[in-house]
Amino acid sequence: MTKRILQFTCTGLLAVSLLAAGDWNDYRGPRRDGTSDEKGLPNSWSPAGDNLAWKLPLGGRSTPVVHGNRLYMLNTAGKGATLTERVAAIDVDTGKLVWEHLMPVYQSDVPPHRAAWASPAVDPETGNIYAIGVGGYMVALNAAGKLVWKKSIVEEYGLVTTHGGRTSSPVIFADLVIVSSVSTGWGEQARPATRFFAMNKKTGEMVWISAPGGRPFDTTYSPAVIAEVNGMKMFIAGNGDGGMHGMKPLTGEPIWSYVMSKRGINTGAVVLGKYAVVSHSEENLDTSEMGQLAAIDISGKGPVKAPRWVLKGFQGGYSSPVMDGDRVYQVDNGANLFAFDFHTGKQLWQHNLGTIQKASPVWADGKLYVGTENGKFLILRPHSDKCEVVDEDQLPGSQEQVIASAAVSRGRVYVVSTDAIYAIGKKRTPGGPDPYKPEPAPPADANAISHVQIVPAEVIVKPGETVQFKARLFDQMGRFYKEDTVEWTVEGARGTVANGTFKADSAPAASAGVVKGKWKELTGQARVRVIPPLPWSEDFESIAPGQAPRTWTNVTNKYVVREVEGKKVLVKLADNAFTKRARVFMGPTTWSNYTVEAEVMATEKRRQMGDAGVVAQRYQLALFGNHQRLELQAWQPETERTALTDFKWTKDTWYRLKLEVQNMPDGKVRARGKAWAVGEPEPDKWLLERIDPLGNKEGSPGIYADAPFEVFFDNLKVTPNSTAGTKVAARQ
Amino acid sequence: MKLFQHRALFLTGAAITALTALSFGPHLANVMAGDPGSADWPMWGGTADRNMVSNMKGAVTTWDVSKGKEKNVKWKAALGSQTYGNPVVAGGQVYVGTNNEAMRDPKQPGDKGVLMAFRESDGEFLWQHVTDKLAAGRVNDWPFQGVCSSPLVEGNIVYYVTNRGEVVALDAKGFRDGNNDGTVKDEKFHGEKDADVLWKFDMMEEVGAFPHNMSNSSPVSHGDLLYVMTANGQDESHVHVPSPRAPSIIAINKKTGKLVWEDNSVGEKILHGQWASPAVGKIGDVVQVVSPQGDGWIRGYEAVTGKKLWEFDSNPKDSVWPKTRNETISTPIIVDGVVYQANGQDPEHGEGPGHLYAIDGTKRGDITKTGQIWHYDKIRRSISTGAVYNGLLFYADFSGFLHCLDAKTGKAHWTHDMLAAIWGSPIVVDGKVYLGDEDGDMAVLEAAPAKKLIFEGSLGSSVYSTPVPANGVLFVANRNELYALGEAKKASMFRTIERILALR
Repeated sequence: MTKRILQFTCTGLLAVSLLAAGDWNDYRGPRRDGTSDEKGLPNSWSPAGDNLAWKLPLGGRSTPVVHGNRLYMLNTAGKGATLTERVAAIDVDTGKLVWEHLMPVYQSDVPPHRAAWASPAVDPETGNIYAIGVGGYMVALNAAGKLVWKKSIVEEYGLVTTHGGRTSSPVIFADLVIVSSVSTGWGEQARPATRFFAMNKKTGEMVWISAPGGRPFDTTYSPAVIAEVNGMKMFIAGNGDGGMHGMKPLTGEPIWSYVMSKRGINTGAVVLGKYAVVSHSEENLDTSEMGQLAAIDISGKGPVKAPRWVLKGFQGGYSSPVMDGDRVYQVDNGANLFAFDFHTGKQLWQHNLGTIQKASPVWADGKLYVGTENGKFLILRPHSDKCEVVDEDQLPGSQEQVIASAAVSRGRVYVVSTDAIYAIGKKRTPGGPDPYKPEPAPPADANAISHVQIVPAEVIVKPGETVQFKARLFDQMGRFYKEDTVEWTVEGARGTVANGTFKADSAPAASAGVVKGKWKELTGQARVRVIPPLPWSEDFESIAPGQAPRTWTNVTNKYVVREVEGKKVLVKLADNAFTKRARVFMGPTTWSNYTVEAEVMATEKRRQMGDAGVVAQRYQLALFGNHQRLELQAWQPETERTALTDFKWTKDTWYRLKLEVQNMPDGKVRARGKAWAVGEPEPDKWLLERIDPLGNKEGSPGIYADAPFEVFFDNLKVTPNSTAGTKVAARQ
Repeated sequence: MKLFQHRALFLTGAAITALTALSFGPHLANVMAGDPGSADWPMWGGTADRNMVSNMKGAVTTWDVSKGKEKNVKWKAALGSQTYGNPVVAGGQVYVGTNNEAMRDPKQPGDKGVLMAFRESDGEFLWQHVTDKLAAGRVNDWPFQGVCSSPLVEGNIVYYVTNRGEVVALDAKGFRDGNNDGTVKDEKFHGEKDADVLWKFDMMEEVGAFPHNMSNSSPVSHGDLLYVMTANGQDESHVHVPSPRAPSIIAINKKTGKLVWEDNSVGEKILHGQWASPAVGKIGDVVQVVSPQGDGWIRGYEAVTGKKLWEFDSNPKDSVWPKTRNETISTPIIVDGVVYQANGQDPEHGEGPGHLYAIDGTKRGDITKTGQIWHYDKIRRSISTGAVYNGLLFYADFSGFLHCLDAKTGKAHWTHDMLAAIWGSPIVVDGKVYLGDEDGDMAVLEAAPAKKLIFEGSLGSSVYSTPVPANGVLFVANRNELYALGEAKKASMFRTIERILALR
């Protein structure tokens, strides 16, 4: 049995490798396993110019990808108030920047020097480029750099702004592009979890959302690998819950899990036959030794009971392993490279590279290519009993580090350091992209249908609007069978559904729920929010105490309605310090030119008073209690784009905030805000105004609180700017 | 901090010092450096000036901790999975901060901060102080990093800072003396193996501290006052300081647990966190507390009154956080009236350039120019503490280099590459420098102007702490084990092995 599986897999790998002659479309390469079949790759070079096709002073922390004669990387462009993430396209023949696409960073806690973490991915079919920023903004671009579609996963799905920037790279599979993050959305997605979001790569339509793991301990950046075991395709990725999980890539259904740590997993797996080798460097579940390297049998379902072998105490937590035949190479956090026997876990040798390791090695042409955080780049030839150093170069910058992994394409090795990109190898590289061969789609077993997928998986609609859902059937192996007719129902969302067409009620009221499709005993569902157009007002009087608005993201368990002195208000709870700071988004991400107002109040204890703010079009106006300031922010940690003024405000007293954002004819965006004590007349002048040269031209309304102790909101209004000039009545 | 994967840091430095010149309480009389082979090591650095030097004789210069081949292992004890607290030794007991992954009490499961007390003679586990994690998670109390503060032991009282930012005083005898001593009477656990809390000062509650990632300061005392840093710092955004009205340093009356003075010269200028530990020593005519703070400045205070005497910027004026501007995590040392300190960054931030200074704290005001005796810029970022011995300054950096300098001039005699990150500090014992690294090795070198490596051996897993000399034995913790390295008597070795087997 084992033998047959191995043969099958090997055949599969061979078939794939034929497609993989030159492009490096994904962070971990053509097979997403950190290897390439190319031969004749460089044995030596120098940063000064030997065997160096070109060097471009564009640094970064993410691995580049190469498609045809284009190299794409995610890094940052600009400085200070104009610093932002960008996708850069570089001509590999000339080493020149061909185009760049700037991606906004907004409403994020990630500091600027941690931006641009994930690698882009290229779709081999269309040549489109997919990138996700640290703040949860995602784009699909065509090969000319034009926007195909975009998605704000932070506003629409409650992505938890990545802790210090850790972001998973997109993965292309069949018609899907799959990204992941810890998120706390609305409804049942309020449960914090590492969620995988699979979108149609051509349209951005959400196809499935899956949370295969439990409570997340961390945001993570595990590179996903797609393997085939016993004929079943598996999407394998580490998770914030300390586990490695296998899912069916077309549906997101969980297959198996191996929970190995009390912290999140940042590494990827390598797969041979029915075994995967996995690794981490944090707490194990059953010993006080940290870290492990383990081989697990992934041919079963549910929790993997016991590993085939495990080495506890091995600390490989950032680098992902690579495989060469039946040898596994992995670099530990202290930059020691190890070789192990895949089948037994026996250590073959160990070789020191430096002191700190973040990058993953790449194996190609019998050599390992790997950089260290100490700024070294090494070419190594691994043997069965030792590691031979073929070439070792210290990059010239005084603080130049290699955090990214290498990319191999058409005879060259590309290395991104924090200072530059180096194209190691021949001066010219021939040819365009590899010919596209679609992912084989073997026929499904019509007698083993086990899953109904309703697409689009999630939508926002206006009252009176219709949306067409489809029901798609999949078999137990996760293979697509066909679209079919199902019995449709709707729950929670106000509207009707017939033949898959959902029509929202025309009444201007917000509601949220699911559209269900029943096929025999199976049911699939899609999530729907009905959001009325502006203007809105919300005084919370119609919401039961203890509840929160159902259509808002990231509100559940963080904010509740409470009756205070006979009036209902929304309270940012302070009972869970873990969610002390919480941004709530309320509507579509494409709105612009509107004004948000709200009344806010904060309590004070032990020298600390909370912060309260409103959000419009990705700008935030907030009163800071401990600082006694009013600040207008676009990206809080990037302080040069913050406008601020001292503002004395008193605990246990209501103030009104007003934030107006307007797109200007010259492409810039104007945000201005004011605050005043409730009961006093609205000041004529704006207290803060900022013209943003980059400009967030759209975005959802929201509120913001950082609440060491409780913070209160009431009388929220969102109005189009044309009617926003009128003064509001003071709080009664 | 890694914060990114932030793995926080917190080690601190070390050192001992000759407190001779200071008139401390009688309990300190037996802890002077240079008391060969008989001294306890009752605080981080051994003495209040933190200079990492001991004249203890008989420290082993070779060892083997591998299973079945143990050599010069007197005993070992199981710790949690991450141990950043440095051992202290006093009154026949060894104290070390760790996490709860070697759970000693099934009634207290899960991630906790744990201070363990062991019997010095044989490593018998005596009692532990177990503290719940802060609910906010990594922003205030990084998971699984345990207790990073090293206690100060005076007589029968153990002072340290918990992972919740509480300064606590514990009864060294625990509940074994049959009494619930002190003003805290509501300890949840009262068994033989539980800690007896005398008083508690909650820095978050009392002075509004918002510790960034971890509270880790190692207390130091002068007279009736106990000094700790608050760890007050930024939030997850790494820009915003949520509690700018909380002080950097506080002085507490060690008998009553009440606040005596505080200073907040930093306000919102905190670059990251404030993880240093203060040192106390006589500088000129004044007993001073020297405190490295969150803006990368080092400040000196009159110890009794808290009056600020001087401040020194440890960064070049053109430096930019976080690439070239550093925070101060190392503990200062005070030797012959001179302050020695390097700057550096959270290990999560990796390597980079550092700066090491000798500072004249007799100057007043902004002494960045006037108080600089010398500046050594060949050091990389450092979180280690220095050791001055025979006119030589030993200082390690996070890139793995040990530097031996002339303490008077700051000129380098030599450097030694450990080939792995260094979190702990070099310590000079009887004329030899001991230094551990992240790859789990510990080196022994001659403390001399000419470099000579005497021995390098493994300690099994990463050494994030500093080896501590006391009463003829070196106590050193790797990630999850505490070793007493010394010439083992056969019988005790046998007991140790039995105990280890029982723990497995």
